[in-house]
Amino acid sequence: MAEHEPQPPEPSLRQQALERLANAPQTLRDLSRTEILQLAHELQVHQIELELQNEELKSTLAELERARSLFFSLFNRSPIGYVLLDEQGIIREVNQTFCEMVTYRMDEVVGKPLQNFLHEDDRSAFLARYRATFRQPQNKVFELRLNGAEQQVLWVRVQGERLLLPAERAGKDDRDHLLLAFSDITAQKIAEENRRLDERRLQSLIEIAQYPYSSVEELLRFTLEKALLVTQSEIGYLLDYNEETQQLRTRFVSEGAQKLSELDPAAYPQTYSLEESGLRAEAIRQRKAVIINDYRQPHPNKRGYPEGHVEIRRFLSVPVFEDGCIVAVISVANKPHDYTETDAQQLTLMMDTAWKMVVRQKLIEALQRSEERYRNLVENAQDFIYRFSFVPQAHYEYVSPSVTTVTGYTPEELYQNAALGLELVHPEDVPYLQEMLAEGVKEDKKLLLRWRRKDGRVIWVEQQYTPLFDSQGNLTAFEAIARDITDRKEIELALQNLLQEYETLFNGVQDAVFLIEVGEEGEFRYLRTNLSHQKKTGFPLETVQGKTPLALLGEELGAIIRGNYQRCVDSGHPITYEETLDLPGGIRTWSTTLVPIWREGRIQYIVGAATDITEAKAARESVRQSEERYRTLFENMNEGFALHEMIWDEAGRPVDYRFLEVNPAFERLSGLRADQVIGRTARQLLPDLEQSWIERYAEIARTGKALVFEEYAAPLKKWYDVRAFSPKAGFFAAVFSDVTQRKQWEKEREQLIQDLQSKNNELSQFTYTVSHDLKGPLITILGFLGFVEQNLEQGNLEQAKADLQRIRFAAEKMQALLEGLLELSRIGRLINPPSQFSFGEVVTEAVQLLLGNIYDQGRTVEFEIAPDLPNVYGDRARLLQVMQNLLDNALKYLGEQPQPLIEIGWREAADEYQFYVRDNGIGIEPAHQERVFGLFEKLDPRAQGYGVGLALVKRIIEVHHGRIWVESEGEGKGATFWFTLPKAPKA
Amino acid sequence: MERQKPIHVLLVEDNPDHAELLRRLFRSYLVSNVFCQVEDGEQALAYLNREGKYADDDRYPYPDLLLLDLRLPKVDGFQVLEQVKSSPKHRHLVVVILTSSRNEQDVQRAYQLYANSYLVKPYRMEEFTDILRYVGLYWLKWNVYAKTSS
Repeated sequence: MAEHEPQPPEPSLRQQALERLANAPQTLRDLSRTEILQLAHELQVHQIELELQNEELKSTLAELERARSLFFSLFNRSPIGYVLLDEQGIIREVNQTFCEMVTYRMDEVVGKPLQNFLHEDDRSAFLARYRATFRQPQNKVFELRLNGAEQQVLWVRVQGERLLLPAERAGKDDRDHLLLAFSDITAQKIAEENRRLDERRLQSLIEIAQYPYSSVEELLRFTLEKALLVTQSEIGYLLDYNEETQQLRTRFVSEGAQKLSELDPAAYPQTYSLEESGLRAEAIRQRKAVIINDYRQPHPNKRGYPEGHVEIRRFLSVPVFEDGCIVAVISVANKPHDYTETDAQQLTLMMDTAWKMVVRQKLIEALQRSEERYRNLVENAQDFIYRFSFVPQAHYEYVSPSVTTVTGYTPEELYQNAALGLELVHPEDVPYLQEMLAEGVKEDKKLLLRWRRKDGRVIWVEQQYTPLFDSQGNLTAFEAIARDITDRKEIELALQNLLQEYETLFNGVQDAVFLIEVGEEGEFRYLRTNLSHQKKTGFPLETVQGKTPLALLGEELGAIIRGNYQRCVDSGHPITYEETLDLPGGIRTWSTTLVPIWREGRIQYIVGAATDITEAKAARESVRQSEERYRTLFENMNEGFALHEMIWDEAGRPVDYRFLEVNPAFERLSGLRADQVIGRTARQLLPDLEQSWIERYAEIARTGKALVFEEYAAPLKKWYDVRAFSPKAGFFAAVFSDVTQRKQWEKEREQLIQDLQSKNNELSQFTYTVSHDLKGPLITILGFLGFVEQNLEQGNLEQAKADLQRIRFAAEKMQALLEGLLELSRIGRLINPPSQFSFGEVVTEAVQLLLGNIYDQGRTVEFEIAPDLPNVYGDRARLLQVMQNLLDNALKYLGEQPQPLIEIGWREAADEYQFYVRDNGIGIEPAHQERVFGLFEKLDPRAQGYGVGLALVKRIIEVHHGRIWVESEGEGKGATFWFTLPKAPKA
Repeated sequence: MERQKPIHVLLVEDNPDHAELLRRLFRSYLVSNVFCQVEDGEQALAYLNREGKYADDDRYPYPDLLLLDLRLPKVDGFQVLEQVKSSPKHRHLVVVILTSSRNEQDVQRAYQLYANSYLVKPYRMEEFTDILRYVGLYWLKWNVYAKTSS
């Protein structure tokens, strides 16, 4: 139409007509005056008619423009971003939604390549796939990132459709285009990512705590590995740090960074001082976690890294404390996005857990070594040491294990039978012993006797007796060292060994051992200390020797220590107590035992043995704290947790399982209280539980293989995400969370996408139909205008009149089509408030509205309306329209039926009513039954109407969530139009 | 090569105005001697298969050219095209699609079903005239056909 003359056609036509008349006088000459006048009048009438037609045409075009702007605003307000691309990937058209996604104005976007707006990392992948997508966009969906506002990344799901658009100007070729639809899925992406991360964190902690390590090194490597995973880092390393020397040492680096250290050992030293260390030691200097997300920015403490080092982009470093001292630093780097405080906390928690285990392991190892050494010494001793007590009655109080070597009896035999003491003595030596006992043992005495061993062999035994007395001077016990001196050499050797062993024992024991001389006036002086004592207290032997507690430790502490020694002397018995002392060797907690040593009737010495329990105490505390931490986690986590014990029958088949522990979240999620659950079995709680579940869990408890699944619990109407694993054989634990909401969202999202897709399809089908069917009348109008011009040229006015009539009809048809179109487009949006009303009344109303028409046509039609039509819920005016159109349609296609009958009835289905309008008219062949509801579809081109009525009916029914279809056995068999309405209102 | 026998066009067009338009254009430019029109796909197939009244060869001669609209009541243009091109009896018939649709999918599908040509109804009279004249000249006068036994 753009090719038309610029001036309006009406004056031009007039001009031409006048010219024609002027140039053809010879034809007119033959006409009578009356005829000329008549002709002139006729021409005037046509002139006016033409003007009117033109007016109509203009208003039609205005309607078209209105419809266009309506679709344009639909396009712009859609929640989906639309981008129209040409073959080169240049944006040709775009809607407002997409512009808001990338935060550019529309004019800044159009004409630019689409990849300009994509995230850097997605560009090449997009470009690589663009050609193929352009050629064949069907079934290709991909997820991309857009650069959104404030450097935010927007995740979008993209789907394409190929469009062939008319050229912008006539004469140019049609252009192929690709329409891409962008749906924002950022929120969903973030939620998924966070959930995965939380699960991974919890899992890592549990794994570290349960990791069956065989060495400290292995445990720490495992922890670093987990730390990389949890913080999504590429590389990491662990440094040891000595706070005293301020030296750092690389313990190890992760695999990704390992190669680097081999590049140049000089540039990458293994040990270095705090002072010369850059950012790697920043966590030590600040004594807290350090996060650097912009490594390229200058930092006062950055030293850079050696040539060939992996590029660091982001960096997180956390110090590890032991007893308030930093002992290590763990660092990770190059997470794909910024490190957060959560990462730092998580890393701290993981490293703390691991380090506590390291400390505990070290302690256990040290304890094992010391025990072993002590046992070896005592058991290999050649002498038999014992203590024989007379109170309350005679018995062995202590017998060293070497009694067996000397006598062949076990210590137990002696403990149980005190009489063995005398029986051991060779009968010939008994009188000698009795004589000595009669004299009364007053002091230490050496005694040489013959003993009969258990196996009958007689040995010479030299015994050193030490009698022990109570305060009244009565003999209460004696201690003795018995030595087999049968073989002198052996004895000498044994003595030597014994001395050496005592020395080793004394200095080798982990306990700090010290000997105190108790003076006549009651003063205490240190005589000897062992190596452990010297090391742990920080006092060399020469500092201590000969000093009193007050002289060594000062007034305050000295007085306390002195008090303890005095207590021992006052009680006369060994005493044990705990003390925490601040000595040059550091603040340590000791478990100290003081043993009074009697000499010459008084306590002359005190032997002290102090066990350093600092670490053990701290370890106990740390285990308690870590347990508390897990307990807190357990109590407060959002996921439900349940620990179960598997129950097997005699044949080893799993039959049931028992609940051992559940957390508060379990109670919340399942609705069962802990006291209802714990101790009971699954069969008791859930009698309908399928055996397959028990077998599945048994498999986990047996193999330790974890399982993750989602499950729907019908009684609770909830979806659970469950991960089951086995903390130890025969047991399994389940961690689960309520994902009903997420499932719901997923379902809604699917539904939404489906709706949008079907809307999209409907829209494109609609656009296609509209453009095709609106073109029809336009072709007619413009074509016949050409004929009218020809007719006028040839003076064929009759034909011109007839052709103008065609033009008028075509314009009217166009108007009707546009009205139908507008009506149809309104239904989706403008709907009256729904209400409950009688459908019977609506039917009656519709029939009455039609009766007039039927009467005008001079026909008789019989109506049969079901008397019991139900109440329905919906838009009354629209549903009236449905009945009117269906009845109208039935009337239109009654054909030559001599006894026309239209029936209206219904039936009830599960959750909907099904209504029908049945006629006995011309019917529809099965092949065409689907097409009758299409817009502008008409089976009979000469029938009245424009193919809008049934499309309208279908739309109204669909807006009411109903369905519509037609049944007909074929031509001449009548037709039944069925439609459904839900019983309950739908959202 | 001049054709000696009368030239016949069958137009399948449901819009009576468009049919009239085409009829007049054909007549004015003496493109064909015989011009028949049917309104839908069903009739078109009946015509070609000589069913019912179309058995009368004199009134309804077998066409040399089928001008076919796509959007038709009952049986649409694609179905007619498919039947014609898959039938050994009719596949030699020249089928020219004449429609108002420029839709790429329609064009693709028409050629996939072996349409001989695809034309879009123009708005301008002059263009319409040109199209029909050249269609007539090309298919009915200039184009050389192999001799067929059918």
